[in-house]
Amino acid sequence: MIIFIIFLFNLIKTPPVFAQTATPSAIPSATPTPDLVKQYTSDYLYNYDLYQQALSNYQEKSQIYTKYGSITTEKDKLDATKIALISRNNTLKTYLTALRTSLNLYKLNDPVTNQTIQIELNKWESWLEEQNQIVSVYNNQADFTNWAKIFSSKWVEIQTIIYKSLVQQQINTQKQSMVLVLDLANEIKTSTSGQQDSQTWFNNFPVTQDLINTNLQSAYQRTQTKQYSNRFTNFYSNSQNDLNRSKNYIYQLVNDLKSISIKFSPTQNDTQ
Amino acid sequence: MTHNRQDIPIQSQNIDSTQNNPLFQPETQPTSPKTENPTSKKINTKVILFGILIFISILLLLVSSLVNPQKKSTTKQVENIPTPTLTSSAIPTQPEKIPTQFRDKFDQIDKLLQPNNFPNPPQIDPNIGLK
Repeated sequence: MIIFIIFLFNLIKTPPVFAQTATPSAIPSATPTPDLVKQYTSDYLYNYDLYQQALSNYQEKSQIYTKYGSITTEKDKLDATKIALISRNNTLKTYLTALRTSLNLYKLNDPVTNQTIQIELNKWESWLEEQNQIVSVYNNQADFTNWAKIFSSKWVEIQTIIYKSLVQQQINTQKQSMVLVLDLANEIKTSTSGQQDSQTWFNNFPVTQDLINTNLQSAYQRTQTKQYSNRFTNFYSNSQNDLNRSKNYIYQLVNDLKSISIKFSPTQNDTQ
Repeated sequence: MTHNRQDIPIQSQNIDSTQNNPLFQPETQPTSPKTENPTSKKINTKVILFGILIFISILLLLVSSLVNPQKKSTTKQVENIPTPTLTSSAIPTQPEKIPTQFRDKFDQIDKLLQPNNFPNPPQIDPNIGLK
């Protein structure tokens, strides 16, 4: 009898419940998590500390060699130079990695531009890693001097891609916030559509949107500034001004939406 | 040709004499009030009329400025009603007043617009190993 009951129980036991798949959202999801950006940023900061120590040591050894000029001091200086160069390359490499990863956040709002920048960042990361392997076998001043000249010629390009990436990072964030603002505006518009005069409060939105887009485009255009081969023309502060203007316009839209949601909310009207 | 001496009036023929100088214009005697120029009389009238007009317009301005404050006091209640604006300046936007269904989305947007915490580029010496 007991066996029969157990047999019956096994027949009617409920099947396992599988987790439901998330419904696709209008908001694009980031590929890596923000924690990954945090981790790479922390790696960069650690390497930057090491570089500053190595730089200080290099400067000290250089001064001693300049003062005494002995073979021992020359060797110390060359060793310190090697360590400082490798440390500097590591610092730059980890910074570029963190920057490249951060561009994955909200990348889908402009995938082509982000992808292009990320490819170039990756190229420089690989170049810096390769240079570390070359520098590690140097043991004379002539090789270091030649290499330093090569690095100087590349430094303008590295700075250009760094600042271009920083601008694009902020463009990505602002574009994502605009996606959310427009999504919310549609929601509020729909919920207030039955109320008198509610729709006229949205009339200025297209104009403000245009202003935001114009400033974002201007911020990006400045990153295309033609550069000299031996001198970096820093466009970043001008781009930052454009980005600040567009952000202010976004704030204006958000505040308008808050006002509209409060003014035309039936719940708020009932409680007043 | 001879002149009849009797026809010629007895007068000085000195060219320097003023009465013989064709360019000399005798001074006109000051006119008496009775013989005043009619055009200046007209000018004086115009000036007086102009002055009267100015006086009347100033008077009207004074009267209107006295009347207007009285009008304002009666329409005070109407002026206190706020005019609708598209910015949040006229409407308070404290978080607790925002409808519940929208608060999360507003918070999400506010979070996105926070200042960027990404570190600045490293300050490096590009000349290491040059000398």
